[in-house]
Amino acid sequence: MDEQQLLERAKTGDPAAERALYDAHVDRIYRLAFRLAGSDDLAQDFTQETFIRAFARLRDFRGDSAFGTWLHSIAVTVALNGMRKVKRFRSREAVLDEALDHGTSARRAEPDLKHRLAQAIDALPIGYRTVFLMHDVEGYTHEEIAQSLGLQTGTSKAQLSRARAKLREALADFAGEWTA
Amino acid sequence: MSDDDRFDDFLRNAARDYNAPPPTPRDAMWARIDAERRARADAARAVEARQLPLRRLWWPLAIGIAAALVLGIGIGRWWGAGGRERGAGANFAAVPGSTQAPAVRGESAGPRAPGSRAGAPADTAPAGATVPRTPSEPERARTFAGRGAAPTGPVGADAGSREEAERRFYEAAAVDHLGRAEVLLTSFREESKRGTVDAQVTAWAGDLLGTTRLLLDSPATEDPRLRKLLGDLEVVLAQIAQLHPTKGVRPDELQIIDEAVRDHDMMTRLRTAIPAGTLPAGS
Repeated sequence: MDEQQLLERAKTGDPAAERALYDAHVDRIYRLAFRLAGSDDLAQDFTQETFIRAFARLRDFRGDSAFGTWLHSIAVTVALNGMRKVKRFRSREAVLDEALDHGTSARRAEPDLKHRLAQAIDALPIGYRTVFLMHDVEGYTHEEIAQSLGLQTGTSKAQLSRARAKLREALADFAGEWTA
Repeated sequence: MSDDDRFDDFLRNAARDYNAPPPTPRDAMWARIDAERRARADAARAVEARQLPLRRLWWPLAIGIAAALVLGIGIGRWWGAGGRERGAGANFAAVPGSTQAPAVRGESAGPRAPGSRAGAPADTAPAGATVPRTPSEPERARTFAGRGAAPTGPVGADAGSREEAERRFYEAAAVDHLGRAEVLLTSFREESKRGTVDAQVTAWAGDLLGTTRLLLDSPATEDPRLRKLLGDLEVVLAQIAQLHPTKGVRPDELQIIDEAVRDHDMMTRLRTAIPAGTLPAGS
């Protein structure tokens, strides 16, 4: 049974068809959610919400784009909105942690390359970060990214280029690692 | 290979470890998705079930509300027309801006305050010109109507101004009444300290009791504070009016009333309910 048939059945409320659609797409959705969130709990929450919304709106899906693309656009919206809320919460926590750490004399170890890279990716603007993770880490094409994020393909390419430039700047201390 | 290309390769490799996802917990997530969808569907059905009776009731409810509105407007117009007639009659009977006219007419109508001579003119009584005599209810109505409270508009004025005039009329009546009640209670408390009470005070309380009841049934008591005050005042006045000074008053009877006045904080509430400068000099 192809995806179109599954969709038609799922629109009538067929649970087996819904499960088949879920199985076909859940891995990519969950992986992307995890990359963006960095937490299993959040990634599961975002993935669940994505499928709940998708099944609730399935009758509105007209097939103008691939079902996977439509699903990813929901997933990215859910994840980014969720991350904004989490970011606000975490920034309050960070202020609190900073206040608690204030005055301690323990010297922290210099971050290694992975740590520095993770920090640099975290510090990217959310748009750059999303495009970078989707393209360079999860292997999405610019067309897929553009459709998921509602951008022009050129915008996706430009954002990836700027993201890489920022990361290169942030990792300048480790230039020997890639020039060697 | 340029530096940029080498950096891009390096970046892709290094970034693979960034937020590396574990295996997808498919079944656990599906179970939760299924449960959540059922819960949301149940909630939506519950909301719809709650709204259904309202939808069915909508037309009867709308008709009922419309009927109530029509009835209310009708009563309001009928009441307004009656009030205008009553107000117009009071205006014609009273001398606008004067409180003396009804006082002269009602000279022998009410009991006198303690200490005043029988038949003495009002302006010769001690401790305030209004204390010696208590005009009857119709007299007071005429007095309030003529006290610049703009009780009624000209015939043909719109319903809003009539209602406003009526409201102001009753407010003025209530303020005047509370002023008299304060004077009465002050007199009563001073006498009760000596263990006596004048028969005129009890008669006066009876007169004020009737006015209190009339005010309680009037639009003046739309204000809940005023309604409560008048309710408490009614009880105290009834207690005073039931005393029989000619047969002798027991100290405990006086004490009970005095305590009621104190417990209900009557004097303070009366004074705060009377806006400064609203009563005529001597009230």
